[in-house]
Amino acid sequence: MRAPSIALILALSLGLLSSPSTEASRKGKFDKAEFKLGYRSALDRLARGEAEGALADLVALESRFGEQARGRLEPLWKAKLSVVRDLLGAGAELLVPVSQLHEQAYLAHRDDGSYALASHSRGMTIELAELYAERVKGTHGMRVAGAIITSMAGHLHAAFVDSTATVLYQRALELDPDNGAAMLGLAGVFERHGEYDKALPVLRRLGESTAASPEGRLRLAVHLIRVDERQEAEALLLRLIADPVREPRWVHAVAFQELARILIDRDEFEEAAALLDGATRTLGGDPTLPILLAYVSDRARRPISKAEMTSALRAAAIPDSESPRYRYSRMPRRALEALRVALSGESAAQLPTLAQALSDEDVLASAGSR
Amino acid sequence: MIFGRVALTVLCAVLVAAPPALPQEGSQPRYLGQPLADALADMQARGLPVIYSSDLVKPEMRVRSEPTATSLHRILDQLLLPHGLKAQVGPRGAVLVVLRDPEPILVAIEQPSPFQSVFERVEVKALVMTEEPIRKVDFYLGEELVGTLTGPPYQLVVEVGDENVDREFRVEAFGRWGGFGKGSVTTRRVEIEAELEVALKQLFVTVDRGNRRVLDLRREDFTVFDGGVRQTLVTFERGDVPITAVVLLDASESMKGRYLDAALTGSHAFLSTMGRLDEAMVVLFADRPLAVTPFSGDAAVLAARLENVFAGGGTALNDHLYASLRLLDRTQGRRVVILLSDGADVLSALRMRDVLWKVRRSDALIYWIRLQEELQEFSSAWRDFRTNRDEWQGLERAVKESGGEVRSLTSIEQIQPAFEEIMAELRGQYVLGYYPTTRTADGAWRPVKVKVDLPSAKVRFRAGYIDN
Repeated sequence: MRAPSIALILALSLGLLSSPSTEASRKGKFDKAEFKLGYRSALDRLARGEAEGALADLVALESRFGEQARGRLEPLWKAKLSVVRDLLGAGAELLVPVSQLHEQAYLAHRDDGSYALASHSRGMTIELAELYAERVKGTHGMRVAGAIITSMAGHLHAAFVDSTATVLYQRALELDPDNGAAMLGLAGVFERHGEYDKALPVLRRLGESTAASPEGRLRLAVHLIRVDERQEAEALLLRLIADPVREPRWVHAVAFQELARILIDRDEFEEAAALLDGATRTLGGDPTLPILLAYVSDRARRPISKAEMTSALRAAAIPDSESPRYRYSRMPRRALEALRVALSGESAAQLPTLAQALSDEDVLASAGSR
Repeated sequence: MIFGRVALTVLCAVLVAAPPALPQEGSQPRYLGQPLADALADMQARGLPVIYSSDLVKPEMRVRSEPTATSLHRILDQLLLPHGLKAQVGPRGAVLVVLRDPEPILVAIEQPSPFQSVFERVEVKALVMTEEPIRKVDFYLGEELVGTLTGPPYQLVVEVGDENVDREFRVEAFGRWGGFGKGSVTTRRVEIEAELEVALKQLFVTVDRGNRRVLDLRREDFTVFDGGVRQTLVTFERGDVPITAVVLLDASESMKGRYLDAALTGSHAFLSTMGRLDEAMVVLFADRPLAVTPFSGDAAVLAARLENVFAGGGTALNDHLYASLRLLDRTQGRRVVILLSDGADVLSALRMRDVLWKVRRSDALIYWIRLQEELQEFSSAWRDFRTNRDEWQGLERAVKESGGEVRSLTSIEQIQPAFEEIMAELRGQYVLGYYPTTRTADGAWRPVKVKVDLPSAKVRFRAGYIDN
């Protein structure tokens, strides 16, 4: 672990970080120099691998200075970018851990109910991602920048801030057209608003991309049913259920359910019963399949017994579980998780670059004078 | 052994013994509670040559009931009977106390009748006739022992399942003195052709006038039309027809905390006022079942299965409503689903039109306790705004067609009264039975209309049924 930088020690010894006693603080004015020192201090902790400490420092700093700036947060924005630009000489890769710190600050402010600061942190995260894309050319740079933006879009999507999430997902896809999480997310937002015609091309594009996934194929099939392209949907669903080993269990279950629905809508109850009978055997514990089976058996005039119905319901009453249909209705969680894990790895890999930048005495010394 | 089953280890030739001081004639009771041996000594003192063994008449035996007879022989019989003993004439006019021979116990099954077809839950009523005290009565369904009673009334509710088969009910009674008897009845499966001809249609009718329920109408006050044709009522009952209910409680994320608590408290108010033959199942659901109780008439048993259930997840209302209706198929009495939900379906694989298909073929009433007055427009991953609105309206329609009611609440404090009012409504319903005069069994919808001879009465009943 790296020791605190000399510049930071100097700054502390000069009392530049002791904000409560400064003149600016007393007058209620934003003290840019003091803020920049505090920000650098947070980045320094981040570079030393103290992610939690860095986050706590940054959140406290932003809260304090945000109050000082009386809600007008542009000065914080400018001061931060000034610090970051001074560091970029060591390499733009350091922007990845810094952006991730701001993403965490966004979550912290949001959870505290500090929405102005949350919005500021969100903007900073995106700004840093854009800066990264601008500085690190090539596919890698675009992918990482797209991932940072997608991750933030995912938070907004989860919080039902759908219009901003849509813009961010779309921007992420401009940067990285193969970003599977962004495609799933964007289609998910459209779907949530019943805009199936907008979701469908996104899902088709996903299916043709290198990020094609069973979840993407399932969502495409569901949308094809909605626009009455059932033949194509049926073929997709049959492919999904043909290889149960490779598919996530919930995707497999919903594929069976939707295939059964196609048969039900065609009044093919015997066929649906045969399909669901097999599905309930392989996917025991699924709450929907036995109810669908009961329904199609009823329609086929060979109802299952009450005892079978009761035991199927009881078998599905599994605490702390979620049904496949509920899982479908939620965020593209797996794709986002994978993306965030990758970002986290990228961020950790770039901490030495950040540390290198902060150890540059010239940069540090200049921080207090600006 | 001599004298039949008399054990003569100590033969008490008590003819010479002095009679004990027993209450005198005219003062009541004379023998009740006294040692049996003392009563027998009194018999001897009165000139009855009673001989008994102390193995049979033990010191701890007491007279259990006051004899009512007037002749000494008959009084002796009454004294001995409760102890499994009897008097028997011995040599030279002696009266011997001996063990009673086990006598056959007469057992008859009053219910179900052999002419009935039974499904699901059946109350078996046995008639046990004997002077012998009963040790136990075993109830069998086929070869399976399904219950044992040790005292009257000999009535037991038995789950028989929903298969359309012949069923043998057997009752075996065992007396304390070794007596035994049995009776059996075999109910017959429904012949499908016969079913079409004899199917009794039952209508559950609620009559209100102003804000009050009307409870004093007579059979002749009702007129029923089936498919536009006036029907003849063959049965007319009030709300004492047993209820089989599924209480379907939404326990999705939005019901967390006090909403779920209020739902459970409210449903308990309903369950705890069930009658002896009523029974219910409680299903807590979200996007999956969270808790499923068995059918039971015991509110405490049901409540115990609902502890430690936490709300969470989405709402698959249609799927669980269909499952509830399916569980009520072929159950006896009035079938009721009481649904409590704060919202609409968002996740089900079944659509409301699928549920409506079932509603039209089920006799179940659906009550929807709705924790919001009107639909709040929304779209979700599985349905857009229009489809969600259609589903909501479809549920309202299903409830109405079933003959039930939507009760929209504005606060959780209204939940318990809503449950109580539904029970009161069920108790106040008229149950009208008729055999449809024209049946086509063509799968067509047959509208039903009920008219009441009461000005400004509001009448609620099932809108019709599918003639299958």
